[in-house]
Amino acid sequence: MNHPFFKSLQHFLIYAGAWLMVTVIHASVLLFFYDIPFVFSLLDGFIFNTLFAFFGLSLWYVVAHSRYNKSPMLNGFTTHITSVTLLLLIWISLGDFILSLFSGNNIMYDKFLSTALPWRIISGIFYYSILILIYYIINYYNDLQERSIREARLNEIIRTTELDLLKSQINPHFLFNSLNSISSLTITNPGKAQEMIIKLSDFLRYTISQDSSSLVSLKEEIENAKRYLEIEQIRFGNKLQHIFNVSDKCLEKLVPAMILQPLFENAVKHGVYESTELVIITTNCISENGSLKINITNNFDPEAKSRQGTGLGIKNISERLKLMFQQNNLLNFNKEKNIFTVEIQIPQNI
Amino acid sequence: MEIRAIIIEDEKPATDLLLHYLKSFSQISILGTFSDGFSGLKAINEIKPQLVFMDIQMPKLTGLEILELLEHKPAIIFTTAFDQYAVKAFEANAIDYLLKPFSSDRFANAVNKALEKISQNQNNQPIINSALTVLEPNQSKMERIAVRSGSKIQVIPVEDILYFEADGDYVKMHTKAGNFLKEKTMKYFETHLDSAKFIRIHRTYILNVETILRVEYYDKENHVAVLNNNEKLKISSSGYKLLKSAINL
Repeated sequence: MNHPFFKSLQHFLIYAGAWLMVTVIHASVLLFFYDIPFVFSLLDGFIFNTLFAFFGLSLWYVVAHSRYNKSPMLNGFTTHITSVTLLLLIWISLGDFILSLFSGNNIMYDKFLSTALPWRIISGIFYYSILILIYYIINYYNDLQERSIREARLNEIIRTTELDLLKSQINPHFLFNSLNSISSLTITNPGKAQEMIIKLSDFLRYTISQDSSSLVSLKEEIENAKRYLEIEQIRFGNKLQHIFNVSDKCLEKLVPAMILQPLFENAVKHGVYESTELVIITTNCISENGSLKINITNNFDPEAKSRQGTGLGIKNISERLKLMFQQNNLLNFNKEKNIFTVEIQIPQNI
Repeated sequence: MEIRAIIIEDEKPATDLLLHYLKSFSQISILGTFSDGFSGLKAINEIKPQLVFMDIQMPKLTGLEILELLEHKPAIIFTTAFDQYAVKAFEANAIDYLLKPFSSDRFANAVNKALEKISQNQNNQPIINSALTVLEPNQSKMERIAVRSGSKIQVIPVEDILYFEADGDYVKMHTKAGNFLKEKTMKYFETHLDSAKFIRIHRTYILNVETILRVEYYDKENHVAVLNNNEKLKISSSGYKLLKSAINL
């Protein structure tokens, strides 16, 4: 529970300065309206206000405590009645006691002291109310700030969780089918089996090592996509071919990790899985106006009728791009006759 | 005794593996390998093998769709990486299913079981009948229906179907391109179609809600649905309730 006036020297000086002003006003009133001698006015103002300033600091704990103690209104009310009574009692008796040590035999001042009690009580309650009000405002403000920080942190957590969810999961069917191919190759072609195991391992390593929001070079992404396509090529043979038209300039650009593989998986799923003809997957890339455009095209069999899972991979990538770059329409796709095209844009000025 | 068998599988390494495992079964002769659903179905009907090794996910027709369309019913061993199908096949006590990848022991086990069934069934009784209804993934809704029209096989996406009509032992599917018959029950379609899109509006009709133009009174108490093509279908009172909640009438 940080005391607001001890948070920094500046805060403390503001508090002390405010009380100094009150002291000056207090002393001036005594001096000019009650004709109390200068020294006594100053002494009276100084002692009572310094004492209140001192006790006032502790009032913070009364307010701060009420924040954690979710008591009903009435309970808070009695707390304040008790604390203001106690405070006034101590404050006035202690003040009077200290003053009596200094006041010699000034008649005017003695007379004033005997009539001052009601005024002391009224000003005490007034100071108390003002201080409590200030403390409540500070308390409320702190609460608000804390809540907005918590909210921001929560939003961040939600965002990363969503990204994690959207990040391509390894398709178990792909894994089992690949393992089946390896199982076959160990008998018919052990050298190729070895090669496929290494490709599959590299692919899996890349997939699990990437953070959902990390950026990698397009070169790494394309290398991984090639590994994926080569594994599928072992399964489907000459039915699947791929062409990459990507300049060296594009290869250096940064893209979100695991953003391409789901698009190739989509092309293989709806192109190769459903077709008996050759399917060619072509990748083009241009970098212009601070944005990287990657375009993936494949042919498919238009006769092949809808199958479950349509478009889920595409939708996920679209959502991921939206979450990462806070921008809509970073993914567009188009189906025409027997050609499917998907284009993603990766903003580079981030 | 020689057993005639074929393989229907779209992945070459998977086919190679089956051929390799089959080397130790000298009584089985492989008459051909086929890499898509259409050619596989054609081969079964023409070659009439006693034993078929078949993948489930393939181009053109899935293994399950082939099963529905068969005239000649051989013993079938499914091979698949999709275990949601396999569990169902196991419950139905189909000849067998093999989850990819599988061992040679597991394969031998399945083949021996099939050979036993075949030797008990010399008169070519359908062996996998019981698998037919259960071998469908029940968690996902039907998206397409394979039908035979004449000598041709057609695959119809369900969204192209205007309505289903009971027709004796068959169900007639009405589409813009014509009508198709399928040997199934109305109950089968009612449970397998997406119930938000296809409503059993009458004992004889299941209606695609997309095709409704309007619903009007037929007489004091009964309603009819008017379709896009101006056809009118009777709605029963229980069907009306279902339809009302489906389209927020």
